[in-house]
This record gives sequence, C-alpha cells and structure tokens, in this order.
Amino acid sequence: MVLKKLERKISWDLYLTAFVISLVIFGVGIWVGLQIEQEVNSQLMQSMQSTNNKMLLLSNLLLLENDSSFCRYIEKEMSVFDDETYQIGKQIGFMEEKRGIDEGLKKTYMELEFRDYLLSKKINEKCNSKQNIILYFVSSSNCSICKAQGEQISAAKEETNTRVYTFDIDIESELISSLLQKYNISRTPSIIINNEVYAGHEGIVTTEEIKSKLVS
Amino acid sequence: MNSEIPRLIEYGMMFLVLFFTVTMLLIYLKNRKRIHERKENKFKPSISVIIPAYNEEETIVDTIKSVLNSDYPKEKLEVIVVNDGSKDKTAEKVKTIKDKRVKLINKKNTGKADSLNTGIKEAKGEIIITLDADSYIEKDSIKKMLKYFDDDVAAVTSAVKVKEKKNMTFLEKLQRLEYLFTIFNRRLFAMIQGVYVTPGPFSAFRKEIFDEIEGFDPNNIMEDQEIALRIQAANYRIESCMDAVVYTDVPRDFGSFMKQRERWHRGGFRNVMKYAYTINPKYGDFGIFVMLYSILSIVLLFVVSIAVAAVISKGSMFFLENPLLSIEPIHILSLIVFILTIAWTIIALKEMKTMKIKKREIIAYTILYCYLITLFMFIAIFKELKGEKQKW
Repeated sequence: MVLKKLERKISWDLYLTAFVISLVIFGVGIWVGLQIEQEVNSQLMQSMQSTNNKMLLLSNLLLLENDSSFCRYIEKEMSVFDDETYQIGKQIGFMEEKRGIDEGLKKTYMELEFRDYLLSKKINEKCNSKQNIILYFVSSSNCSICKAQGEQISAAKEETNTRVYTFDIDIESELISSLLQKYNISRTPSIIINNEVYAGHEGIVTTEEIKSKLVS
Repeated sequence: MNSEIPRLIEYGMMFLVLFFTVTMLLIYLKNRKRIHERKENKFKPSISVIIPAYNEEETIVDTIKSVLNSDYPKEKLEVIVVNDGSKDKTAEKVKTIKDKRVKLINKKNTGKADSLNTGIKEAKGEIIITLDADSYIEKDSIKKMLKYFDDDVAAVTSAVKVKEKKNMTFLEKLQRLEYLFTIFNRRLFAMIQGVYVTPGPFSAFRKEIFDEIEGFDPNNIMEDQEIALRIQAANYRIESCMDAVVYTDVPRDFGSFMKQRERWHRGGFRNVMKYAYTINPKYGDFGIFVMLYSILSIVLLFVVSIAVAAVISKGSMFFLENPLLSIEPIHILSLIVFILTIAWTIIALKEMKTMKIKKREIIAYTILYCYLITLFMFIAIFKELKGEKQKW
C-alpha cells in the first residue's frame, strides 16, 4: 500500500500563543467594560449631587420666604426635583438588577430621597397641598414579595397625587437606623402612608387597599 | 452566590470563542505563504468520476460534459453515473452522451451513500472522484486536485462555490459568501491536518482507502462528513485545494434552506458524537482542537440560546432608553470578537481573490446569517435529542 499514516502532532506553540493573545484581549475588554461602568457610576453621583444642590437652594427659599403665595412656584420646582430623583432611582434599580448592589451609590441615593421627603413634607404643611407621602421599606436580600408589593404601590401612585420613597434597610447607614427607630420597623416590606404605619394583613397589600388610605 | 455561576459560564464561553477565533487567525498568519502553494506533483493516475444521480435530468448532461471537457488524458478518465432509481429521464439523458468513457449503472433507489459504493466497486481508476449530479467543474479542476496527493494524503477536497446566476436572491448571496469562507477555513484546517469533511459535490479519494476503511455509510445522512472523520480516525491526511473549483446549486428559498441545514446539523451532531472518542492527544491537532471545538460549539450553542431566551423574556425596554447603563464587560468582549470575525472574513475573501462582494453583504453575513445558522443548529440538535429519546 502506497499510503503512509500521518505522524500526529499537537501544535503546542500555536495554542500557547493563541492563549496568551486571547488572555490579553480578554483583559483589555474587561478593563474597558469596567471603566465604562465606573464612568456611569460617577455620572450618576454627579446627577444626584446636582439635584441635591437644587433642593438645598429650594429649602433655603422655604426658610426665608414664609408667604404662601410662592407655593405654586415651590410646588412646581419640587415636582421637577422629585421627578429627577425618581429617574435616578429607576436607573439605579436597573443597574442593580444587572450588576448587583452598589452600596455607596445606593446610600447616596437614599440620602437624596430623604432630603426630598423632608422638603416635600415641609412644602405640604406650608402650602397645604393635598399630597400623599408613602415611605416604603424593603430588604434587597431577604424579601421575596417586596418587588410585587412595590408594583402595587407604583400603581396607586399613578392615579393619585402621591410621592413614594423607597428605603433598603440592608444598607448600613445612620439614616436608615434612625428611620427604622422612628417608625418602629421590624420587618419588610413595611409601608408608611402619610405618617401612619399601615398595619394591615399578611401578604401583599393591593393597590385598592393603599388608595383607600390616600387623600385625593 | 447564585448569580456567580451563570456569569462564570458566560465569560468562560466568551473566552473559548475568542480563543478559537485567535487560533484560526494565527494559523493563517503562520502559514500565509503556504496558502497558495503551487505544488509540482507529477501524479497522473487513472481516474473514476462517480456521479450518483436521483432525478437529475435537468443538470446531469452538463455535469458529465464538464468532466469530459477536463484537461486530462482521455484514456485515464472514466465517468460512472449511478442511477439511483430515478423516476425521470435521467438515464435516457445519460445515454444521449456518445462517449466511451461514460458508463451508466441502473439500480434500485437505496440512497446516495449506497450509490457511491456501487460506483466505487465498478471503478477501475486509482483515484475516485465523487461529483454531485447538479454540479459542474472547470477544465483544470481535476488536474489541480491531483497535485495535492502526497504520499500520506488519502483524500483531497475542492473549492465548492455557488453557481453564479443573473438574479440571485439575498439568501443565495449570503450562501455564496458562506461557501467562500468555508473554502478558506478548510484550507486553514488542512494546515493542522484537521479537515473534517470531504464535500459530496466534488472530492477525490485514493481507491485503496476504501479497502482499508470500507465505503460510505448508507445509514448516515451526512455521509461525506462521516467518511472524512473516518479517514481522520484512521490517521490519514486530508488535503485541501483552493483552486480546484466546482459550482453547485444552493437552496433559493427559506423553506428548502431550512430543510437542508436541518439535515446538515442533525447529521453533523450524530457524526461528532460518533467520533467524539478522537478527542485524544493520539489524534493530534485534529482530536484536541477540531473535534474538541466541534463538541464545545454545540455546548456553546445551548448556553447562548438559553441566555438569549432569558434576555428576551425579561423584555426590558429600559435598555433602549439607557444603553450606557447596560454596558458590561461582556458586551465589549462581544464587540471585539465581532470585529475579529469581520477581519477574518475579509482576509478570507482577499485570499480567495474575490473582492466583488459588497461590504453590506459581509456585515449582513456576520450579524444576520451567523445567528440564523445558530438558530437552525439549535432546532436541529433539539430535534435530534428528542428523536433519540423517542427511539429508546
């Protein structure tokens, strides 16, 4: 038979070179991705800072000017800031689903939320606005129904004049501890509607039940 | 903890894809000069061209004539047409060719593999060439193929191209590009002795190989791939000739295209499983690179399909509003692999000296086509697994 059998070889140097090059490209790709993630984070921080500053200016105004004739202006400004805060919250929520929780970012956000909440409360009093305020306490690590409950609350917010502030009690912060103490929160989810703890039933509180507690 | 494992799998698979792409590009870079080797083999054996035919009255005459027109000594060439129980006028059309070199064998319809084996039994040539009844070759195709028959070469593959037509559908144009890319890649695989298919349309074998490893497997739906794997498993060399051209028909519409690909992928899956044992250093680069990646690509297929399904089910429109928020390292890596693949395709086309292809076809090919093929592979293998379960 004329045919010779092959002497099989393994091209080790080929695979080694390919491995090294792949590793380098892989590293570069991951590095670029992480850089972009960091850039997005710092941009969010900047947004929060800017909204924060604007709210500080507004709260100064409130202190200085007691006349309720400025209420319309103040309420309008507040709703803009509230919307900005809400958008940032959505973005952070989206990122959390993809990448997991960034404690620093979330802490800064909750502090922003809290300032928003305080300002809203003050404006409500001063201007006698019929606005509802809901504080919603969740746990990102240990609460299976929190997301569903949140959706019910969002639905209630849609059709009424309501602001919702969500706080994740897993995040270590003085603010969170103080809030938990004030309202005597021991479990999640917990809902505070217009400064009253909703002592309802077990399981998810429906949109209708929430709306029944709101002023329209 | 739970989200760590999918992420590891995701990045792991991406690395494997990257590694494969880089390896193929490296094989090209290391062997750039050898790609267009002009070999000086003086091999002039007797040749039997076997054409299995089932209902091919339209094209059989042109096919036979293209062989008879070959630039090769008349007395060393014979053509054996095996009529696989055709119900049309295939046999009559063959008889219209008044050339002594053409023989006709009529038999019952038992399939392509069996027809090829019948032809091989009757063949007198030292070299057997398989040719599809709807394909035609160029004058120098046979001559060019023979130059690659070194002492350890059991089979030589050709350059299978799509027939040029006036009004090609977009699908045909995509396939044209795919076939060119495949020719190039087969040449790369030949550099590491890893050619894994001797395409039915036009391949050459030493007749003696069939004495050692037996003929085509009648129970196999991808008999041209199966015989190549068998030759590899017997540790013989398969070469690839990029200049020996054969023009073949391809499905024009989506329906027949899907059918063809389903057969290819189901057959491919079965063959890969059958020869999975060759993933062994004993089989050199063929075993630990080509065969290993064949299996890995099937695993990768399922992983990617599950990931895509998960993304679609989450249905987040938020992604579109805030694209920057969604960018993760995995997307950057995907982009890099995408760019490398486009570069690879362009290199392939340049080396094949075909720059007539429009840029938008290349982009469409890399984005659309590859995912389309991936989808078909998934369906085919899914059906295959379901089918196998039923048999039990």
